[in-house]
Amino acid sequence: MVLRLLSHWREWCGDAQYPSFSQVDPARMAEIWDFSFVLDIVGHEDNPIVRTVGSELQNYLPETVRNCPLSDVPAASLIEHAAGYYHEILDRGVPISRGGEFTKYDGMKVLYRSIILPMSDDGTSVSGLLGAANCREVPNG
Amino acid sequence: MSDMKAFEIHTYQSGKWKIDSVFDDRDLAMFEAQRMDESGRYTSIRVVEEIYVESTQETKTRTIYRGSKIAAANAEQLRQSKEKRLNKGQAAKKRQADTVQRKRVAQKRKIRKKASPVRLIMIMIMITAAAGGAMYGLMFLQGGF
Repeated sequence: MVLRLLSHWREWCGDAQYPSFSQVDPARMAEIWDFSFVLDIVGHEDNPIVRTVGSELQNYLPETVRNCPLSDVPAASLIEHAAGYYHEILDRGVPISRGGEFTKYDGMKVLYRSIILPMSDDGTSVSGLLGAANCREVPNG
Repeated sequence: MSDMKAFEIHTYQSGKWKIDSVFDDRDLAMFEAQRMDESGRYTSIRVVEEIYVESTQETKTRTIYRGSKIAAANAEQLRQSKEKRLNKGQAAKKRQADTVQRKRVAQKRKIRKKASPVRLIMIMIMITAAAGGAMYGLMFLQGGF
């Protein structure tokens, strides 16, 4: 899924450095969109606002985090880990994929793979981030 | 303390390398790089492994994958330079052999020239003619005729 989203991102880019959110059509990538999230960074570079969270990602959250600052996202949740390195994308201006494992708030061990992609309104400066993550729970013991 | 590794996929665009994406997983980066290379959409692809050594705070980089186009271009360049070197070596050997051959022929010709009886007879005739001419000249001066 991470590579499929990266592939979409490259297509949206065309000759521009970054694609725009207006190019994203959730209907055409429904299977990915459910695992996606959008971070608004304009004016919130130090603490982005979570604008959308896909339904599958929401399943790994004890509460809704839509329009919440990233710092308010519940600890030990998938989105906390999947979005936690957002500043590296702002620093480097390229898509970055990370994976790992963590113990969820309910004690379940989770293996995950995520990606965050830089997005732009003008094609040259990053104004938002599109992320996605998928995971699998590993029974303890 | 553990070292941090990152795998960057680079694409060659407009005469320079550009970072396309960064992965923390080697296999995923290699898989994506190979897929991109096979797509034929990129002039060149490479994967650069970046290792941050925490103890020394140094970053080491090395290229762990080169797309088939780069590999093919490198192989072709290597083949051409090998061929050039080989041709150069052969030409030098040939030149050396030619020089040796020419020297041998010249030496033989020289020896043959020295030993030729026709040449000796000609020299003797010339000496006799010169001596005869000189005697005739002396007698003419003394008014013998």
